[in-house]
Amino acid sequence: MDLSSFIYSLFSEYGIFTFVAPFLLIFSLLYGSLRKIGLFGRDNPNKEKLYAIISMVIAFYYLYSISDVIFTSNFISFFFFEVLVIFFILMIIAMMASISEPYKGDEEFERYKQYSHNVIVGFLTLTVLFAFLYASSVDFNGFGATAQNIILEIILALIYTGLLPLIIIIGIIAAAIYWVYKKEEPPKKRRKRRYFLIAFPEALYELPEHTRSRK
Amino acid sequence: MTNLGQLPQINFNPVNFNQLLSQYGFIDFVLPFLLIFSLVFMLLELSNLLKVSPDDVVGRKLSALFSLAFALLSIYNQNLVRWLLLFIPKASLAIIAFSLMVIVLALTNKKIPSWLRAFFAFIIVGIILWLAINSLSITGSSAASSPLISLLSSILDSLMQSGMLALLIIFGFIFIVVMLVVGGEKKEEEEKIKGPIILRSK
Repeated sequence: MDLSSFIYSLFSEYGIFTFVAPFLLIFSLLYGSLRKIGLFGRDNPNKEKLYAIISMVIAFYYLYSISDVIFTSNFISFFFFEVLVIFFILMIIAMMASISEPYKGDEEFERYKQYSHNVIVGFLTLTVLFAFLYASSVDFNGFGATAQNIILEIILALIYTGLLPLIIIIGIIAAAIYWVYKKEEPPKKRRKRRYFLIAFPEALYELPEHTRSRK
Repeated sequence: MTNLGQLPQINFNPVNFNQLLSQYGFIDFVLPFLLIFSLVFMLLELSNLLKVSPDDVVGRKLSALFSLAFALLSIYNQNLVRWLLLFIPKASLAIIAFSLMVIVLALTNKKIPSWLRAFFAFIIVGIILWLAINSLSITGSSAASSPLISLLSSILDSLMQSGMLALLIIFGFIFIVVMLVVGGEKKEEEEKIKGPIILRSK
């Protein structure tokens, strides 16, 4: 038996993976969050003890369900992998930013860049959803089966009850009405297709700069 | 003169460095733990999620505790170790390739233009995402060959069988055609080139 297998079996045997680590994760998160939000007032002398007790109790409740602990393990491991991928992308992007010059656009371009930044933030938020979907797909006995059934049942119900075509048709009609009645923009403010292509990468190049300038 | 053949022979067993690292649990345990711990701790410090103030010592300790637990719980999933083993070497190769490109471009002593910069951004994102997806699917992990995929394929099947997919495609196609026909942006651009009617008539 090599050392890593020995460590794994030892840790599993002593409940490091299924008891200590999940407990510390939930406890530190809850205790830190309670301290930060100051739910019981800033001047309360017993607040720290109360925060500790509440966090501990909730952490023990969480440990009661082992399937949720395993779900968390899958969830955070996939999430970390996504963070690592983003980290690599930002690292190379930051490197390339040093030898290239940014596009200097007008006010409209800046607006497009802001939209693109928002889209990137949206994608970053989606990483949590992807991690959740991964964990749901792996852990059948716990959370996974339920989550999958819910998603599947919603979609199937939408299809077989005929609601999906109805939603699509209503959507198309709403889009058509909006398109017909929307206010025409003056010709100067018309969208420039080139901005669509350049604004997104420019927003991406700005991300590491934002992080760098943070104190 | 010393004969090379007469030199004392040292019994040296060439040890595979990777094997040594694996044997002592570096690859499977120590390295992933350190990577996860440092990255998560850095992110927590950056976001000040568990800190009341920037100098909060308790908050810093809580961040460290959270990162420790996060790292331990993450490596409980053995798939992650496999993904990291497949992804990191290839992604590092990509970093080397791009840094070599930076070195070569530095020779020109001129910054690369903005359109090329945009192109590079797409390439970088594409390559890293491709490597990540590849490392997920090669390991035969549940992310790629999992019920998640089967769920998606079953949704696609139901969409196809119920005829919804065809309906969506048809509507999408009609929408694109209508937008192209009624868009009228080209016309305006042409007018822009030609200039006002009064000037043209002259």
